[in-house]
Amino acid sequence: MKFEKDLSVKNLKRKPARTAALVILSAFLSFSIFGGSLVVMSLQNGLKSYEARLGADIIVVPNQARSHGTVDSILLQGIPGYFYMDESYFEKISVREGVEIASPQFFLASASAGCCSVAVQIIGFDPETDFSIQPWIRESYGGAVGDGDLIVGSSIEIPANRKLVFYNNSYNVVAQLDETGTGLDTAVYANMSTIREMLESSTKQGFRYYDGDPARAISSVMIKVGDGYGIEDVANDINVHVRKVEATQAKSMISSIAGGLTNVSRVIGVLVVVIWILALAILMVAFVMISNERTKEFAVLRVVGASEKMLKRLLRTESIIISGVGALCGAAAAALVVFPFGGLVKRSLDLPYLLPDAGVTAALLFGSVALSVLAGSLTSAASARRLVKNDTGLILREDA
Amino acid sequence: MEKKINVTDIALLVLSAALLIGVLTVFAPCGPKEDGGWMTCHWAGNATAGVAAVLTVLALVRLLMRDAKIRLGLSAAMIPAALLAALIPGRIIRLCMMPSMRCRAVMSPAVAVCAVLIIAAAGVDILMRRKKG
Repeated sequence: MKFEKDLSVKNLKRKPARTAALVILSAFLSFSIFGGSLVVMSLQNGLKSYEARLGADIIVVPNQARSHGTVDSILLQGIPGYFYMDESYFEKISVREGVEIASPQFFLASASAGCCSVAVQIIGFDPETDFSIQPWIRESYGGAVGDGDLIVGSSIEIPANRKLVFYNNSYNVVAQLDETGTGLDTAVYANMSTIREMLESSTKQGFRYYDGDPARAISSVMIKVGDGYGIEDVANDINVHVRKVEATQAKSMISSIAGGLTNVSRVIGVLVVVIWILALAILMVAFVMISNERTKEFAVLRVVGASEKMLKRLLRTESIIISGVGALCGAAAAALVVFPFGGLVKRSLDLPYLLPDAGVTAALLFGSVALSVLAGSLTSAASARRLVKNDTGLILREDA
Repeated sequence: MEKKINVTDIALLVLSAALLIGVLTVFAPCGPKEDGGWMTCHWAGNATAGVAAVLTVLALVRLLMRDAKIRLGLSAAMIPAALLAALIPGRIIRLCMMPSMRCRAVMSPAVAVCAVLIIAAAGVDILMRRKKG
C-alpha cells in the first residue's frame, strides 16, 4: 500500500502542470457546492431569524408611512425611517374584534451617532404591552429597560463608557442583542418615555419629525390575533373600520422576502449544477486522455510484476490525492469569499443574511469535500478500468 | 545562490501590489462626510496602504536578492506585516458603525483576504526553502 502511495505521489510530482490543472478542476467542484450551499443556507437562516423577530401577526402603520421609509426597509435593511400617528389610533385598533394583544412602537431616525455621523434607527416599545421585542431582548438581557436605558443591535459599536449620545442627550447602553442578519442589527431600542424625550430634544434642535403632540405620537401598532380569528379577516376589519392606517399581515411581508430568496437560491442552484457538469465532463475527458498517454507506463509495470488490483489502487490513490487536495483548496477559497464578504452579499441582495453556526458549517464543509472527492474519484474509475485491461504484450510490441 | 523566480515569488509580489492598489482604489474606504470631514475608516485605509507599500517593497527586494537565506528572511518578515495589515481595519483602527458601509462591507474583508493569501504564500515559500535545505 505504501508503495502505491509513494509511486502515486511521485507520478503526480513528475507532471506538475497536469496535476495542477486537475487539482484546479477538482477545486471548482467543492468551491461551488460549499460556497453555494453556504450562501443559500445563510439566506434561509436570515429569513427564519427575520420571521422570528417580527413576532406579530399584523403590523399597522399610518397611510403616509411609505413616504418616510416603510416598515420593510426599516426592519429588513436598517434604513432609518420615521412616520407617526396619534395614540388615539392605537386605542381604536386595540378594541377591534380579534385583536388579542396590541402594542405600539415608535420609530425615530437619529441625526448622528458615534463615529460616523450615520443615522441609526431608534425603535421605542411599551414594556407593558410589548410582545415582539422583549422576548428577544430577554435572550441577552435579563433586567428591565428603564428610562434612559438603551439596548443596541449586534452591529452597533458600543463606546468604552457605554454611553450613546442622541440629540445631545446621553443614554446608557445596558445590553447588546444577538445577531439576526436583518436591519434590526443596526437599530437601537428604548422604552417609550426615553424615545419621546429624544423626539422632544430633536424638536428643540430644529428637527421637525412630527407636527402633532410628541407625547401622544406612535409609529406602528403590532398585533397578535386571538385564537379562532383569521389574521386576514382582522387585518381587513382594521383597514375597513380605522381610517388613515394600513394593516399589513406579517406573513405577506415575509412571503415577498421568501420569493426573493427562492429566486436567488434557484440561480445559485443552476450555477452549481452547470459548474459540476462542466468540471466533471472536463475531468472525465482529462482522465481518459491521461490514461491513453500512460498505456506504456502501465504495461511496463505489469511486466515487472504489478497486478491489475495494484494498478487500480495506484490510479485510485492518484485520483483521491488530486480530488482531496483540490476539494480542500476549493473549500478554502469558498470560505475566503463567503465568510469575509457576507456583509457585501447582504447589501447586494437586500435580503436577511445570517451565517449558520459552526457545527452546521463544519458539517457542510465535510460533506462538500467528501462529495467532491467521491465525484473526482469516480470520474477516473472508468478510465482506470480500461487502462488496466489493456493487452500488455500488444502495447509493448507496438513500440518495438 | 538562487537565480530562478518561482511561483511564490510572483504570488507575493502580485498579492502585495494588489493590496496596495486595491486599498487605494477598488476597495478604498468610505468617502468624506457631508461636512467634508473624514471618518476613522479613512485613516484605517491610509495605515493599511502604508503597510501594503512596505509589503510590496519587501516582495520586490525578494525578487532582486539572490541569496536563498535572505529570501527566506524576507518571506518570514512578510508574515507579521501582512497580519498587521489584516488587523488595522476594525481591530487597531475602528471602522464605521454600519456593516453595510463600504469600509466594513468591502475594504475590511478584501484586506483580510489579501493578507491571508500573503501569509499563506510566505508560509509555503518558507516550507519549500526549509525542505530544500
